[in-house]
Amino acid sequence: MNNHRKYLRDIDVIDFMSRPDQFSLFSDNRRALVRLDIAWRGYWHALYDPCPSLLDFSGDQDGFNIFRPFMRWGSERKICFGWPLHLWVIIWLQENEMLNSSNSEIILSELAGAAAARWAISDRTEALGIAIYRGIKQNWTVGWKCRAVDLQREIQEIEIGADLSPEDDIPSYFLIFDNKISVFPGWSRIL
Amino acid sequence: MCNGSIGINFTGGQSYSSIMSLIDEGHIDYVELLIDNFLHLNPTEIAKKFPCPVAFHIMQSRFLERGEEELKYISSRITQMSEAFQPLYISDHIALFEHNGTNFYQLAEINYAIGSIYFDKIRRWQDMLGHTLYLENYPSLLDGSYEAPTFFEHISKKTECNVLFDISNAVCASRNTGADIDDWKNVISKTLHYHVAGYTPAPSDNNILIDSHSEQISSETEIFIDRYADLFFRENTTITYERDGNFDYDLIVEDLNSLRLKSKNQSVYNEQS
Ligand SMILES: [Fe+2]
Repeated sequence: MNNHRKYLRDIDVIDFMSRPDQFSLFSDNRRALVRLDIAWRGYWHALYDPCPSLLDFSGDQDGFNIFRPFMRWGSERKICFGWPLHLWVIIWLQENEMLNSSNSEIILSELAGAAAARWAISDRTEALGIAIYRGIKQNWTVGWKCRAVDLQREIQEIEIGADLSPEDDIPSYFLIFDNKISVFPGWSRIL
Repeated sequence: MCNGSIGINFTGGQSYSSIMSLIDEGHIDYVELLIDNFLHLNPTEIAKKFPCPVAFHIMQSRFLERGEEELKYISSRITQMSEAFQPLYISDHIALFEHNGTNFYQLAEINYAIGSIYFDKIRRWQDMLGHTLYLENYPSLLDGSYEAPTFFEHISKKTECNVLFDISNAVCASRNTGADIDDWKNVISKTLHYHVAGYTPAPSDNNILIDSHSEQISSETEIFIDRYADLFFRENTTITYERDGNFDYDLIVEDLNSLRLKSKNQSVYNEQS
């Protein structure tokens, strides 16, 4: 046991992993800062790796113009930063009126695709797929868990013949328990 | 399976054809399936695609955090898979995936100092699986590393689970914090199942190592394996090589050959003595 310096465990820094404004509390402990930096980068990569257009759109190389205010907003709103992470980004972009007719199509497509992909690799229920309303009427993003062990997950965009948009028009989803969408069970809100 | 069987991890379809080649060319003896990625699939269909011995590794049971009903569903599927495959071992992570409702994208280390509060959950999860559970040690960045070996020895006694000892995680933890890597000796001698992989310097500090699974096995890890070769390559042991990034077939074969050579050398040594 090392008794000669301040003893610090993961559990001591865990409250601050999504709070870079608080990192300076640990300025006397190099390893704690590296630990927090790694946690923080985890969110950055989760956000931008599947969404190069969002990184372009942020207007700076580090993507901080979107990343920092979004993370602060998400922490204050106590979002879980789970699979719907990118759907929350859509809500944040909408609230900040940052989407317009020239940029929204590709960004919404990427964000909803990223959410569907993360759901497909992280969900542990018996559901086989997910349908996501991303704010485009009559066009849904659909994600499928791998259909065989040697295949990868699939992400599609499908045209819907009717307007089944959620009432409040915000990103929503439903789970699919079959190999195809055969029923529309109604939309669920993201948590 | 014999002394020091060598395997590789399999997480999803993108590496399937390479893994099949590694089997066909005799570089590996078994495949460690990240089984919870495939719970929605039919076990018989999976078995047809893996005509070799398999082990199960679980990534996202989140058994410390998840509610009873969800754990029951996950364990019932793993049990069905286990009946179809008779896996060499079933292993899982004991780590924190979230805190106060916020998910992490890098797992956090549990607090070993209050370790006994985890015992009931470990026992419950192991009972649900109906199989000895091998829990993996964490690649510490902070001072939990000093308490980890004692904690893992202790849970084995208290819960009858065992340890999936990740060799390179222990090397990372020791390098990062100064904890004595030889404190793991009792754990190493009591388990049969090991992981090994490459690690990477942290982006903000080259002196801190992250368990990345995207590099070759380091020379420091090689030296550590050699030092305890009599334990790592004894009867019925397995060493799973983990590779998730920079999936270069030839480089992977180099590492697998190096592990195989160590295993053979130990067998020869055992025969001679
Ligand atoms: Fe591992």
